[in-house]
Amino acid sequence: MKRIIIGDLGEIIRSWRFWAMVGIMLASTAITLITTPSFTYVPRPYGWINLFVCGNITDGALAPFLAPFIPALIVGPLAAAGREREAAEAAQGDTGLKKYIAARSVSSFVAGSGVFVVSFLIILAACLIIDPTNKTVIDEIPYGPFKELRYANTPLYITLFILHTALFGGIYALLSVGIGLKAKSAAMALVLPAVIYFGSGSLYILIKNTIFSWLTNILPYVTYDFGAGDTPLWKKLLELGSIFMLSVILIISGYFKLKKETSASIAKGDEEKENEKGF
Amino acid sequence: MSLMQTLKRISIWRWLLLGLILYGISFESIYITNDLMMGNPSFQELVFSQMADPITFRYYIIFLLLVADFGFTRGGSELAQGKARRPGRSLRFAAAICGIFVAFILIVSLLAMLLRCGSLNFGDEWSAEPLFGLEWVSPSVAALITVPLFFLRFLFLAFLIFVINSACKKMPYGFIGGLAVCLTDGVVYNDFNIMKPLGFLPVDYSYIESSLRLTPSVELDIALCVLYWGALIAAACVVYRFMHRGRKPEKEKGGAQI
Repeated sequence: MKRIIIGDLGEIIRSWRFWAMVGIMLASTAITLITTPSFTYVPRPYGWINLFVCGNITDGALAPFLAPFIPALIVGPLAAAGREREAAEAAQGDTGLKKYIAARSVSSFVAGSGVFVVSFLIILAACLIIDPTNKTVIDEIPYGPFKELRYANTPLYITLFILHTALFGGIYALLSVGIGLKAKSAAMALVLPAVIYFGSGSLYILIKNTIFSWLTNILPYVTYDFGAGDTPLWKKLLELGSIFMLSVILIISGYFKLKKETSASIAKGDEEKENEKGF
Repeated sequence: MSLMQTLKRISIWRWLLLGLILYGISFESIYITNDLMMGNPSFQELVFSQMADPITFRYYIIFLLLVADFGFTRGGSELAQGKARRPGRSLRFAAAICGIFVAFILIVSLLAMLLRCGSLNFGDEWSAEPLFGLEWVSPSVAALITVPLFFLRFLFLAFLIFVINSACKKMPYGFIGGLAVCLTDGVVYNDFNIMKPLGFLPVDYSYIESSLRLTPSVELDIALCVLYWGALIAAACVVYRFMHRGRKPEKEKGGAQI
C-alpha cells in the first residue's frame, strides 16, 4: 500500500499536469492582482501579506472559477483510463483490490491537497519578494468564517485559508477518483466535480420549502470560497463533508464494481488457461 | 458511430442531472424576471432572460455533461484509434447535439413555467419594463435573435472540444478549450474594465447588443455574428481536416455506455 502511494505521488509530482496546474494558480493570482486595482474603489494592496490576501482570498479572485478543475486534472488520469489491468494485477497479487483502491484514494487526496499548498507557498514566496510598499489604507470588508482574523492576525488567517484549500483540493480529488471508478469515464472524472461545484447553486431555489430546506446546508455551491461569501464555518464543513461522503460512496461502489469485473476476468483467464492445457 | 449510438452512450444519470440543473436555472429565471417585472414573464421573455448571458459559463459547465467525451472513447481519441468521422459529419453531429441541448432548455423552461406560473403565456409584449432596457425589440424578436446566437456559440464550443479531444490521445482535455473561451470572455471586459467593444472576442458576438456591460450599448449586426461564428467553426474544421488527413475512417461500431 505504501509502495503504491509513494509511486503515485512520485508520478504526479513528476507529471507536467501537476506543474501546469501550479502555473495556472500562479497565473490566476497574477491576473487578479493586475486587474483588481483597475477599479477605483479597491485600493492597491501594500505589504506582502495584503498582496497575498488580495490576490487569492478577497472577492474578485479568479481561482474559485478554476478550483474544481485543478484536482480533477491532476488525479483524473490516475482514476480513469487504462487502470483496469493494474487493478486486476493488484487483486491477484499480494496487495489486494481493497488496499489498492485505498492507496489510490490516499495518494489522490494528498495530490489534490498538495497542488494548492505548493501553489500558495510559491505565491507567498513571490509576494515576499515583491513586497509592495505603497502605504494606501486597505479598507475592504472581510467576509467568511474567519473574518475577525483578517486584520487581527493575518498570518493565521492565511494559514487557515491554505488549510481550507488543501482540504478542498483533497476532497475534490477524491470525488474525481470516485467518479472515475464508478462511471469508468475519464471525461466525467474531469468535468463532473465542476458540474456539482457550479450546478448545485441552481438547485437552491428548488429546495426552498419546508420539506427540503435542510438540504441547503449541504449543497456544495462554490465551496472553494473562503473570504468572499459570508458562509459560517459549520456550513462550510457540512458542504465539504457532503462531497466527502459522496466521494466515499462512489469509491466503495466503484470498488465492488471493479471487484466483480476483476474476479470475472480472473475466472475467464483461468478457464482459458485450462482450455489451453486441454488442447 | 451514428448520432443515436452516440446519444445512447450518454448514460441516463447525465441526462437527469442536466435536466435537474436546467430546471433549477429556469425556476431561478422565473423568480428573477418576476422580481424585475412584478408579474409572470411570457415564455419568450423567460427564454430571452435565460440565454441573454453572453458569457454562458454556467450553461457551458452543464453542456459538458453531453459533450465532454465528444470524439473520445474509453480506449482514447477516436482519431488516434482510426475511428474518426469526416469533418463534415462531425460538424453535423455537433450541430445535432447542440440542437438537442437548446431544445432541452426550451422544453425544461416550458415545464418550469407551467409548474411555477400555472399557465403558459406566449404574449408578445414586455410584461412591464423591457428586460435589460431593450426597447427596440419585442420579446419574440429578442428570443428569436438570442436562441440562434446561443446555438452558434455552443456549436463552436462543441466542435472545439471535439477537435482538442481528437488531438489528445489518452485523455479528453477538450473541455479546457471551451473553458478558456468562457473565462476569457468573462475576464476581459469585467476585470480589465474595458468600456469599448474589442470586436474580436466571442462575447462580442454572443448577445443581442454587442455587450451587456457597455454603456451606451451597441446594436448588433446579426449577419456579422453569423459570419463571425461561421469563420470560427470553419477554422476549427480546417484544423480538424488537417489532423484527419491520411487517416481512413473505420466502419461505424457501437460503444459502451459511459
